[in-house]
Amino acid sequence: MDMIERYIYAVTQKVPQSQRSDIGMELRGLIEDMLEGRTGQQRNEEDAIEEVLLELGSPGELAAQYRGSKHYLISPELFHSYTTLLKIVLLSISIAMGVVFIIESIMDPQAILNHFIGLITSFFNAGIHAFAWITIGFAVADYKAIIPEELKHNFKGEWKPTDLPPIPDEKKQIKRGETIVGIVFSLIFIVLIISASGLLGIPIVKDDTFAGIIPFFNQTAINTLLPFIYVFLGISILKECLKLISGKWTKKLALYYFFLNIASIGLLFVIFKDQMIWNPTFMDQLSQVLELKTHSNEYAMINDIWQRSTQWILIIFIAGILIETVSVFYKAYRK
Amino acid sequence: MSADNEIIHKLMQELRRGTITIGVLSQLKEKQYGYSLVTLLEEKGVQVEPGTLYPLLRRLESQGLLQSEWDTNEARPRKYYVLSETGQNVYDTLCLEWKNIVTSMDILMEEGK
Repeated sequence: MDMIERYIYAVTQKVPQSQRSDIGMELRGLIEDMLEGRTGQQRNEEDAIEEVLLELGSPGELAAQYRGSKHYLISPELFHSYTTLLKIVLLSISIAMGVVFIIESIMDPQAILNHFIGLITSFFNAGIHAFAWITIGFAVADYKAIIPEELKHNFKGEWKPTDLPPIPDEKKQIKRGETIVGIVFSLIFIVLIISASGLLGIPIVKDDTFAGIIPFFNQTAINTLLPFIYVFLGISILKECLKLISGKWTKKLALYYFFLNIASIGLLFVIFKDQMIWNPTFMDQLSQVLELKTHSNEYAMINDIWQRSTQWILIIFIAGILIETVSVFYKAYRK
Repeated sequence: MSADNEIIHKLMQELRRGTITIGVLSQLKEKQYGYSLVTLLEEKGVQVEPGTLYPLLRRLESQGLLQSEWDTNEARPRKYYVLSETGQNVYDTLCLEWKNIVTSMDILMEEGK
């Protein structure tokens, strides 16, 4: 008899609280009825109970039947988008970490094993983080049923052939591959900025051996500016995502680009404010390595190039954004 | 052959799933409890596992096709189910639909011979 109670307990634990006692009572009656049907055959009661419970199936399966509808963490409608995003992010992380690994190995070939271990551990760290956050994001979106119409339009119950979007004019089409490459690059950039901003610089080779890197950037400034850099890169990923969802150049998309690009330019001014982001001792370090005198012509020339390029970077960035904005409007409005 | 059998088994499961509901509704003009329904259906050649039938009865009740009441006067308490008015209407419609299906399937199968 103990076995029956254990079975009923196992089932009712897995059904909604409100139905537990009812289902429990019903099950007990059922099992007793089934047992009664078997007592004609002379047999051990224990064996009969076991046979009946086996016929009813595992408690998990029975409880699932009682619960009815299937539950998903990420429903089939969203699963494709979910795996696509996972692939993009994991690919970007792998590429970026691979780049870091290669740079580190060139800088310090003796410690290649350490770099490799570092590569593996940081890949697992970042990979698990990315995996967890993407999964949580999708699961919450699914649970709260906040799914963008564009992602689930294939699955809505009511559908009319007239709902089919027109095939975009070839000139207005946005290639999926193009946008994914854009997202991958932004993600690679994020990983590089986080894990290896000190490695971006001029490599120094002395007597055929690698002697280090003179970084372009000021580490402390980068750290304080990180939130702005994140938002800046986040906006560029957002723009690519909007392109991916829209699938074609539209006036609405152009308008989104307009506002997002204004925000980007604002952020650029913050990031490059007072040229704080650049390594302040870049020229000193370089002249030391090259053994330049502070008053020599070469020093003046290199210094001039350094000053100009650091100023021009901001101008190039802003010009790039302006050109992008204009071309987006052109693509959206041309016939 | 075993692959064939597996396919047949799966297709049969799908076929049966829909018919069980009609079968259950057909037997509930008078009130029955779960296990009596299992035996009743079995006698008439319809195999239903209790593990399928009991949850199905609850589902049909929550959809408003069945009404239920507990009878605690007997030796063991039993939950009796009976068709509701909606259930009766739904059953009648389903019967018509089923007969249509049978007619058209018959025609299809005759043609195929």
